Amino acid sequence: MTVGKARTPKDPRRPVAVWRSKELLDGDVAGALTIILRTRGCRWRRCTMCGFAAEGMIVSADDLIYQFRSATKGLSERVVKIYTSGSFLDEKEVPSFVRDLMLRELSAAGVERVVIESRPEYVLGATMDSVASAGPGIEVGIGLETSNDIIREHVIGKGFAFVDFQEASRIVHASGSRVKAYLLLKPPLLSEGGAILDAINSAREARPFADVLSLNLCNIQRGTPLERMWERGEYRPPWLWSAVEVLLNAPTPIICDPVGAGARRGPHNCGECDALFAQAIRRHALEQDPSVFDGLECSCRPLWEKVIELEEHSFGTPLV
Amino acid sequence: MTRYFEVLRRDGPGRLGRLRALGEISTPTILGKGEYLQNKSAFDGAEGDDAEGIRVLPYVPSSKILQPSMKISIPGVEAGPSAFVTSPYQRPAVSADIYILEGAGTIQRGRDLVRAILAIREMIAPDSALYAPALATPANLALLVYLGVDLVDSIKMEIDGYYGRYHSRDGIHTIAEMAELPCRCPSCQILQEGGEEEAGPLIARHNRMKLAEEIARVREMIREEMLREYIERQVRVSPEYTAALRILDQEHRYLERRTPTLRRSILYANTAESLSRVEVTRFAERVIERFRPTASDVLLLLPCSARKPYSRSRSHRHFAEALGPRRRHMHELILTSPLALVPRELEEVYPAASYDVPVTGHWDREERAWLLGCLDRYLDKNRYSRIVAHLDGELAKIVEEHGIDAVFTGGGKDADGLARLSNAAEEATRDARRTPNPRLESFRGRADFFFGAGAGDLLLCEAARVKGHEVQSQDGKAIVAETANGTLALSIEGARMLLPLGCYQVTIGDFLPRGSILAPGVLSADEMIRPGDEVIVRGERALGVGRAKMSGWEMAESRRGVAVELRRVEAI
Repeated sequence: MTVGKARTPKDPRRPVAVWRSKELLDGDVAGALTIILRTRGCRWRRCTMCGFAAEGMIVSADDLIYQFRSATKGLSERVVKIYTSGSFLDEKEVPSFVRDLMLRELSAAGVERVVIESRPEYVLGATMDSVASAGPGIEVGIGLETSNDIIREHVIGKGFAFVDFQEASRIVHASGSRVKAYLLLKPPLLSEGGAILDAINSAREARPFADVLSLNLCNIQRGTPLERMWERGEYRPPWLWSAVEVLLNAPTPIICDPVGAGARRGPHNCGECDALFAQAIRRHALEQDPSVFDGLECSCRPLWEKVIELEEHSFGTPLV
Repeated sequence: MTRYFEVLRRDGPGRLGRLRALGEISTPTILGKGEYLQNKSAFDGAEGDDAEGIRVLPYVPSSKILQPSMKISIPGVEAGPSAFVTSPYQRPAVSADIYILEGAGTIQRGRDLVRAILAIREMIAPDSALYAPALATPANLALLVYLGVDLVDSIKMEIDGYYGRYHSRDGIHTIAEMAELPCRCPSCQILQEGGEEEAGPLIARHNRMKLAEEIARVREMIREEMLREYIERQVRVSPEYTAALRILDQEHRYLERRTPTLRRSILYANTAESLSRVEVTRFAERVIERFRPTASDVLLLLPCSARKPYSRSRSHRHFAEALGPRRRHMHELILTSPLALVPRELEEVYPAASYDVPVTGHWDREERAWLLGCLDRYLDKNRYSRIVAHLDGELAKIVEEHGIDAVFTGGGKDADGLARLSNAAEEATRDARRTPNPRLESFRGRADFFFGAGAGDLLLCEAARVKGHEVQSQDGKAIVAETANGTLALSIEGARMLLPLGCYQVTIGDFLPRGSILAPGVLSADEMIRPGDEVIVRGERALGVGRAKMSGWEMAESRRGVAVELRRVEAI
């Protein structure tokens, strides 16, 4: 998902997006292909910050296979991430036979890891058994967002509890697959410092149930309650300094793709140093080496520190 | 349960108060960051109970867009002042000494600011303090206080320093774009010299100092009872603030309920907003609705004078001389801006006796419409067989073109003009009634003006007579007296006579008060009472008279503070 992207007409025969990138694979850097299939979209669709459901449309099984095959033509990557604007494991989005067909084709193409995403309620024993047997090393990404049930329930509106995530994790592991936990920096209604603490705490609490953590830096998606809060000055996307702070204090492996870094709607610092920070964060995702942040300096650091200090007393006002 | 905050003085919705926390804090004030307030939201999962000073009760952060539905229990506070985080969208769940406006710093538009503060103010006790965090700047501070905010902080000053935003009473400047710094504080000197020192903390220090200067200025304006005048010029620094004042002025009930009927200061009508001031509209409303002019067949319209009361001016002395004995046959009405109509009987009443307006001879559209609207209503209610208009210039033209059926003398203060006035008066008052006792009639009119229609007749029903500055009954007992500030003061006898009217009464419990009556002692009070009003205090054991220090609704809702300063009391 790119931030502030122009809307193109929805086409049931074309994926929402396809791109290639580098990814950490068992300590190596490997080529990765990401496909976001156009499906009916997330059926929960009530999270405060998420506008992905708007990308959905009614598509047939045939459409999905067509999308998949056009995106995987000439596939040479070792890692394939196959996502939807919802849950790949929701059979209302991706019928099970389509799902298993895709996974078998990826396996046949020699892909070593397939990353999918799902809400925990679709992570069922039978589903995972069928998924794990159809494909190669499966990794299931689950949007835990935070280990704090209050924030997840009342601020994000995620609709499941930490124990639901733990149970899903157990099922994924039982099938021999891997778990990736997505964490959100920063949910609305939290101060900058409060969000950093929440993310670090969540990373520590989620790590025992996840093989890898993925830190999502919140950006403002269109049509969301978060966007309205942002327009009212009630939300500022996280500082990249904060992202670095979390990455330095969270257990590894923790990856982070600073989507939209430097944009007004994305995570940003002062505007001068955003590109350098985004670069360092991307390097950290591949190398897991905290020293990539050494020497990362900018004159906006005292400002960020002041923001953290003062937002503890501002009663809901982001200091922008 | 409000026990730690007390309002001491008022100037419109703005107040001076006292907060008992960590010693004693005079408000309005700038709270030090984290100095008084312990802040733990429900998301932090912590229970900070080691608070010294003001304790912020547990709360669930929320915004208009995102209101978590979670329920939390709020423990009672046994001792010490408490603060409750609240918003304009929901009624506070508990009573507290201080209410904190959540997300105050995000309010951008003047309209939203007025709405938010008024909405909260209407939901909380009058003797509770309102704190607007991360919002105050030197430019908006006076407006915040005028709206009814008691507590602010310097968070915005501090962070803006680090953003390179330089504050002054005129607004925000980007320091990088300033050639010269219009301030002589030590921080600015260092900044101007452009040394090695980090700019952020220096600008922050300058900003904080400007805010501190402004809060002192605002407090002083309240003491001088000049806050409204100050606001009218201060909001000019930004259209947004000016809009806020205009929108506030449309909230007439909010302002009217909080505006005193008497101020020590001179009312400056310098701006367009002055026309909509409560003092102005209230005066006009009472002239038309309550006041009963001395019975007369002939109305004389006169221009105002710079000197107040008008009678002391050279021009009005000359008018009086020119009128001579014919004066007793006419009722005099002075046309002026912004008060519109001032009957001669009321020229010593606030604000008629103490206002000032830029005089150019030109009447703008709003002033005209206001004047003529009031005049039409007045003439609708009070009928005269003849009108003499001794007006000149634009004012004469306005009245004449409006179709007022009058003899227009052409006005003037010179010998010719005065002669025309004299002749016109002579002509108009031929076979007109003569007022038998103008001073007594003047008391009757003023009693109606202050206490409501009918008050004059109740007070003067017997064969009352004027002696010096007071009205006495036949047996020489004082009934009512005029005071130096233009108000009327009742005697116990006068109070007793006014009781049937049922107005301006404060009912107290079963005790004999002395000195002043505190709000907790008030059982009920007339809603109409405003600070400065003469009131009657009645209880099972006492009848008294005094001056209201707060509005009637405030007396009923407050737990602290002086409600009435008693002047006389009698056991019954």
